[in-house]
Parts: sequence; structure tokens; C-alpha cells
Amino acid sequence: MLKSLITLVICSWLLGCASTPSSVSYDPYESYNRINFELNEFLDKNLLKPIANGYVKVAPAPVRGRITNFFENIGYLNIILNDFLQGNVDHGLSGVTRVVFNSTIGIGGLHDVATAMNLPKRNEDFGQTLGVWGVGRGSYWYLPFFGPNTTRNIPNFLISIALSPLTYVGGQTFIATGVNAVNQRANLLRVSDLRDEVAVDVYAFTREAFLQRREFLIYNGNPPIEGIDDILNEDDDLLYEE
Amino acid sequence: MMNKIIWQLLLLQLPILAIAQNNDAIQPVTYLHQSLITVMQDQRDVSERLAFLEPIIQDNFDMPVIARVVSGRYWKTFSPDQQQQFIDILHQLSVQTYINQFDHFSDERFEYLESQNIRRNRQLIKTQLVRLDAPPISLDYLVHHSKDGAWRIISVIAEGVNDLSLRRTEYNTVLKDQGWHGLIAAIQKKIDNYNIKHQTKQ
Repeated sequence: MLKSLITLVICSWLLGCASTPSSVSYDPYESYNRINFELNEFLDKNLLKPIANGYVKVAPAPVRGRITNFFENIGYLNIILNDFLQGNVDHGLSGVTRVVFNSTIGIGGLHDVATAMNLPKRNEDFGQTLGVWGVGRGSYWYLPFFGPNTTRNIPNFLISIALSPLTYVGGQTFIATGVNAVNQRANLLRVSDLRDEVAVDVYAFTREAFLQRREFLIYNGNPPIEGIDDILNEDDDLLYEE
Repeated sequence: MMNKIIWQLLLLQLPILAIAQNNDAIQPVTYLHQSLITVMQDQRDVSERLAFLEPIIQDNFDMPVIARVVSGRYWKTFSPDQQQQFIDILHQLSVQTYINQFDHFSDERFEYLESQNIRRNRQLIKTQLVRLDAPPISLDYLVHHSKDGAWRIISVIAEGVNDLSLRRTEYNTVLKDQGWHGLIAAIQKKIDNYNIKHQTKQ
């Protein structure tokens, strides 16, 4: 069945050459991205989401929380590196302290003791670093299996894999990656349900939410307000002053 | 010396408190948040909760402006009846989404952070939803001074995702391919799914 699916996707890509043009300028590969999106949605609906739902039923929230903490802790090196690259030395050093405390007092990262010690979890990656350095976002990509991305964020792919200890555990890499994927999917069940409930074009909704969220993270939750009402200013009737 | 510093700090805080208390632009956000807490704590039937929230959304969101913006250049191609139907269906979808998302209370609270002026009749109201066992959720509201004199919400920005611009891009894709009828049908299907979900729960 997997071979048939892959054949179908490749044929769809080839046919995509003659498909309708992109609806927005920053998604020039929209026709291909939509095919990859449908593939991922199919795999999610028929494989990952059912596994995640089953996992939620058997693993209580505190257990899932510990697994989330564990994987976030071992992946934190990427965040520390990018804090330093962005010139956030204090945050980088706090990150080091956070990992040390969570790995020791937090028993191998299972418990997030650092947040209560005023060492909160941060969210950084190399794509955000490039954004801080002024590199443009580039085009939107929707990759098979890996999901939404941008040209600017693709280097982060390779860097995060290289920096993750999971990459170097030999035969256990696949199992550990699988557990992490199921756990992350379980954490996103409510968010994906909301998306499915409100979105009339799920692909476009996912793209816009992803791109806006990336901008939010680049500014560490404090984006500039300039331009925030630009779409209102396109309509002269909405530009009235008191 | 220390007393002088303390007094200066207190005096600096007073204008900020005054802005918060005297800023009418915050009112629609305050009413919405108070209503959502009520809805979360409310154990009544879903139809009663819907009936409670409907006028709150009606009064505190500028749905005609929202409808106009999210339909973009297609708005002027709608007939007056189609425009009104679009406004009404967006209102229904908003109410249903809020009822569905805020359906149980776990000691959350909304916290006002600050207001920022964007232009004379628009402000950004920054708040967050504080939860007991998870990080807070950033909730910013773009509010504007409607022509009838009231401040109303025109967009909710949750963790950086601007609802207004997201829906405009999404709805314009559907309008381009399927027109007004296609978009209305797609939104109506979402509302119908919510109603089925409520009936299943009961």
C-alpha cells in the first residue's frame, strides 16, 4: 500500500506542473505543497492520530508530561546554541543552567524543575536566528512527513538533527524518534481538532498560522505593531478618523 | 532617599493605571473575558450558553467590518443580502467556536498587560490567558472605534496568529474557486458539525 501511495504522490507532483497558479506570492510551489499536505493528512488521519489517541488513553497526563520534558531537555542544545548566535548571552547561559538542573535534579530531564527556578523554557532555532540576522523568509514549503517549512528554516533541519543526541543512539534512534513523534502529536490533538473545526481551507489555514507563528517567535513574542492593521487600510471606508 | 525613589516609582505607575482604567478601548476585551469565564464555569445546557454568549459577541465584535475585511476584494461583488448573510454566519461561527473552546474551567484567568495606540481610532490591547499548569497564552486584540462611537474588537491575535489576516487569505482562496455560495456552504458545514458535537455530548 505504501508503494501505491508513493507512486500516486509522484504522479501527482508530475501532473502538478500543469495545475493552477499559486494563490499567494510567498507560496510559489503551492500545487506541489498541497499534494504533500494531502499525503501528510492521510498518514496523520490513518496512522499517527489514531496511535496518539490510543497513547493518550493509556498514558496519564503526568506521564506524558515527563516524556515531553525528557525530549525537550535533550533537544535543548539547539536552543542554547541559537540564543548565543542571536547575541542573547544571558538566555544562552540560563539555558545551560536549565539543562544542568533538569538533567540532575530533574532526573534525566523527566521533571522540569528549572521553570520553577525562574529558568523558563525558550523557543529558538536556526531559522529564527537567520530571521534575527535579517535573512528573508523565502518561500513556503510543505514537506512530506516533516510538514510546513520555509526556505530560511530548512538549514535548521540539518542542524537540529546533528545536535540531537537521539541521532547517535544507534539502533534506538528510530524507536526514540517514533516515541517523540507520537508524544508530540498527542500534545497537539486539541490544536489540530480546533484547526479542523474552524478551517474551510485547511491547507491555507495551516500555512498562514505557521508563517505568522514563526514571525512571532523570531521577535520572542513581541513583534512590532507597525503594519498590524495594513489589511484594514486597503479599504478607504475603514480609514475614517474621529 | 529610598522613600523618594519609592514615591517616584509609585507616581510613574499611576498614569499607567489611569490609562488602564480610563481607556474605553479595553472594555470590549474585558466584557468578552468576563463572559468567557462565566461560560467556562457555567454548567447549563449548551443552548443556554450559546444564548448567553451571542449578544456578547454581537456587541463587542465589529462583525460587519470583520466580514468586509476577510472577504477582501470580493465584498463589493456580494449583493446586500449576501453581505448580511455573510455577517450573520461569521457571527454564528464565532459564538460556536468560543463555546466549544471554553467549555470547562481549570482556574484560568485573563490578565490585562498593556494597550498600544496604532492610530487615533485603533488600539492593540495585550492580554494573556494564565493557566495553572501550562505556560500563559498570549492573546492580543485589535480594537477600533466604530462609527457609532463604541470600541469593538476586529481581530484576535493568539500567540502571534492574527485571526483576521489568516481568515482573509483562507476565505479568499475559497471565494476564488467556489464563490460566495461555496464559502457560505463551507462555513455552514462547520457550524452544523459543532451542533452535532453538542448533541453527541448531551
